[in-house]
Amino acid sequence: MDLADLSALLGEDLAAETFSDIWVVLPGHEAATPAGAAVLAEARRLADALGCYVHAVLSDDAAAPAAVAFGADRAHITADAVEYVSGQNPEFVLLPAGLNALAARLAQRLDSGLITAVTAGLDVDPDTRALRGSRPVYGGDYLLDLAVTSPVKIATLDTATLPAAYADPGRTGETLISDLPAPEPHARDLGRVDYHPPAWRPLSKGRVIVSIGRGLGEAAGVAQAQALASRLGGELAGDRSARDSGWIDEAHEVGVTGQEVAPDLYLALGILGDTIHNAAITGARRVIAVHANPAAPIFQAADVCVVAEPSAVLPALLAALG
Amino acid sequence: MDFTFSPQHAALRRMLRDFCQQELRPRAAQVDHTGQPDREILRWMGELGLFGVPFSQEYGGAGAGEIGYCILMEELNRVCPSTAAIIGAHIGIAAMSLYLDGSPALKRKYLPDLCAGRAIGAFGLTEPNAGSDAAAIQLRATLEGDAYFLDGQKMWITNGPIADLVMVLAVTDPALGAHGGATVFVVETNTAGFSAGKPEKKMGLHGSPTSVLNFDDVRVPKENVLGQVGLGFVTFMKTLDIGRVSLGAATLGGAEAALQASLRWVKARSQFGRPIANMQSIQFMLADMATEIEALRSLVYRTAWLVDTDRPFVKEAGMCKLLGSETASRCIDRALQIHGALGVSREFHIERGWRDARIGEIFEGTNEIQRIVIASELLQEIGVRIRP
Amino acid sequence: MNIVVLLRALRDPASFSVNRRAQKIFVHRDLHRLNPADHNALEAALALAGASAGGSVAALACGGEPAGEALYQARAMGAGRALWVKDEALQPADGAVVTRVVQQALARLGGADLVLLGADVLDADLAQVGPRLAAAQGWPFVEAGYRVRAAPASQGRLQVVLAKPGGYQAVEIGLPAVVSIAVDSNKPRYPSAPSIMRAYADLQALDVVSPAELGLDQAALAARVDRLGESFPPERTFGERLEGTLGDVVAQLAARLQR
Ligand SMILES: Cc1cc2nc3c(=O)[nH]c(=O)nc-3n(C[C@H](O)[C@H](O)[C@H](O)COP(=O)(O)OP(=O)(O)OC[C@H]3O[C@@H](n4cnc5c(N)ncnc54)[C@H](O)[C@@H]3O)c2cc1C
Repeated sequence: MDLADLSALLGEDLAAETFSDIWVVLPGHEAATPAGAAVLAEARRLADALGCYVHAVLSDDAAAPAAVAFGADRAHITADAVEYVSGQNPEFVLLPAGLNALAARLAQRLDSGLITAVTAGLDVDPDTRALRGSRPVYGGDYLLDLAVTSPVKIATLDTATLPAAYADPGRTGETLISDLPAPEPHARDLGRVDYHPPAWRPLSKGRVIVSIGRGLGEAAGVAQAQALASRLGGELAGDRSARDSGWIDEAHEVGVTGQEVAPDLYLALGILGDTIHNAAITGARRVIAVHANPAAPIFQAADVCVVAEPSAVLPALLAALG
Repeated sequence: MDFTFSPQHAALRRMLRDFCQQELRPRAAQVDHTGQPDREILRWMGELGLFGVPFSQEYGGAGAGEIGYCILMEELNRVCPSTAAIIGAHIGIAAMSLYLDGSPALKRKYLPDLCAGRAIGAFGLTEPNAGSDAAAIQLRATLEGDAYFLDGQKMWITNGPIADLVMVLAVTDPALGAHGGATVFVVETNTAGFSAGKPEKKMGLHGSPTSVLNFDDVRVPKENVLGQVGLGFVTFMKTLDIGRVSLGAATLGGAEAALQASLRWVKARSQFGRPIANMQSIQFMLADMATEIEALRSLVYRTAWLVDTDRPFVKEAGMCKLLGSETASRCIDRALQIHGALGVSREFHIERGWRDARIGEIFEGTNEIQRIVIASELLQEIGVRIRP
Repeated sequence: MNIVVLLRALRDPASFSVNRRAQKIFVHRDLHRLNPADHNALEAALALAGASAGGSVAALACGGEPAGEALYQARAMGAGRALWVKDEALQPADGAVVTRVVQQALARLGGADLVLLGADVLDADLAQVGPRLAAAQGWPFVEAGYRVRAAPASQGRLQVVLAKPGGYQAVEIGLPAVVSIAVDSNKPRYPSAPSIMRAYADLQALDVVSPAELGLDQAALAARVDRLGESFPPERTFGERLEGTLGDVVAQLAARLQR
């Protein structure tokens, strides 16, 4: 069924209406992922306020039911999202932040403004129809409040900050299939390469640090902590007690007598947390601490506290993370 | 009046701050503990042109003037006073004496190597019996044919054990003594008869080797006379005058590091249920430190500006060294107090800084000598001449 | 290979502090520095040019004085040319405008085989300039490269190493292209003290143009994104405890770590 038939069926001119609609671009299986679902749910929220439709642009028709269940009124299947959406007169386009590059290409194509990685305040100004949103700068120290004012408005959403979306299996929606050919891939994949990042980066620049202390118990935990650090893409460090135990070397001792660190995540396992240690992690954006002693001073410096034996938490956590 | 740094000096500081924080700071404790200068980092600093910052590019320097040199010393001494002392002796007194009074030929011969760090310089004035009274030197230089032969001993010479070139003040005419009878020589340390003693065991600046230099009939060709025969004492005194400005800049860096560490600690450390930052006696120490540091900064960079604009600066230079070394000692001592037991821990830089800073009140002219210099300049302004 | 590297100068994170309770930014000093990822892009450009015969690097920045400072730094580090599109108003500009300016500036520089820039921008929503520029020029774009090298066998192609879950992978693209460089993917060289002083002493170190000289009028510079202001994350709270059985706690912990 094409748009004209559909318009006749519904008794309204859908082509004219799409100009004020919201388009959500989710290639691959994105619609079925938590990130894709969260963007669809946001689009639904805005559409209900504006009184317009939500279109999901997918590359795989298997994802269509999920897209509809999470809020789309219509699913469009295409191999070339940029080309397809460009021909649809969208007013608003939303994508997950993982697709920033795609969003930028679309924005350039439609000569529109784009806000990326919005974490808060996504809405439409009822008077000007500007698309507003706030996005963090300086690693989250503060946010810029931005408004897209061009005729077409695009934003990508940092879905980790959005509430989990719930599917409504009762929702129904149309699926349209376009026969646009897939664009020529620009890059040729060469597969895995033997590349090692230069080992110059000091601990002070680490973004994720798993740090251990005597409260870890035995040396056996050190290998597990190392495995956790690798799993999280971070580095293993420790406090002074860990160095005294020979678990880490001087270059990895966190403390004002060792290294001062400012990671995005500092995970302290079995670190009691004296001032010498805690004063050296004040630059960390998020601290999670695990220690068996509920009175451990590390908990005063931690955003999230777990009172438990680190030696019990560690293997369970590794298993849970897979 | 404009108190801003020029864009090039701001850019130089940015580079130096990054280099010192990222490369030098992690090695500072090691340098102190082993008592060994880090040759690797010195080589790197040479490649970056840090051994010739104030000198003109014509001789391989960076052309950053006294202000640029003060920025260098401030940033170095913030993280590693031992390395700062090596560079200070090399640039501030050794190479500086050549730069000030050397003939163009002698400068062309040695300055490019000195500026690139391919040759490390030392400044040989002090002797066992000539400290503050530098005019009492005895090291003899006798002319035989086309060369001088140097005989005697220097003492407490920074970079002595690692130097390739030493600027040595020697008596060429005992009848005239230092005033008119002393001459500066550029001595290559691989010359027969030259030897450096073992590094002295000092309380601080462990990574900056200081030693005795022995001269047993060391042959120095006539071309290696720096400046004019007989006027070496003037050259060395002029050199020390300038050196005091950058020494003041170095002390500024040390004091700033102490304040910075203290600010972090008073916020982090709690006693009696509140951060010690809340205690008034702590606040007063911080306020005093910050005030003295600000005064020192103004004095140092204004004096550097006097030097760069060819204005008289001798009195102010003495003040830089005097105020600077005492400010640094006081600030680091307060920082040590603020840190409590941690302050005396050998695992922490405050204890090292405290040991390193104290020497600032002694070398390159004790603070008593600085007061004499300042007073004599003051009195000269009202027509009174004094001698120490 | 003619490489153009895009640089952005931003307020040094060490020069201000954010008070979430007062909802205010306190600027202590007027200090700027290169956007960290741009610093890595500059190093990647210099390394690539150094490794290829006849390689050249031109640095390009738009904005006020800090942009000029970034270009002097690039010259001191070894960039052969620098183009400064000088306009205070461009500092907070949006991606569409910057892309437009860069396109015109590329033409002024005589084109490019490769444009490098940082994969993220610390202080603004400008990481979109890379893919926008590629789209505008019809060139390939690769995001967040760790290493760029000329393809060994074929002329005019480039190999880029990317970080993927589970290891590093490479892709090969044809030139001209736009590649963004991951932050901390290399160690930028230090400019030497003499080269810093030389850069500033050289009156021709920077080619300075206004947007108008690039043929851009006010309409071309009209923003598509307005900056309304700043907002602040909630004040940080400490001491939230995860409760429950060990299994519960671990599940909650895993969920938070996966964010
Ligand atoms: C680490 C270190 C590095 C050094 N590096 C060098 C170097 O590279 N090159 C070099 O030539 N020298 C160097 N010196 C030597 C330094 O310059 C002398 O130690 C300094 O000039 C003081 O001399 P002195 O030790 O003989 O003390 P003295 O001159 O014996 O003084 C002893 C005390 O008497 C006081 N005093 C002396 N004369 C008077 C006076 N007229 N009025 C009032 N008080 C007076 C002094 O202030 C001091 O308190 C170095 C010293 C040290 C500790």
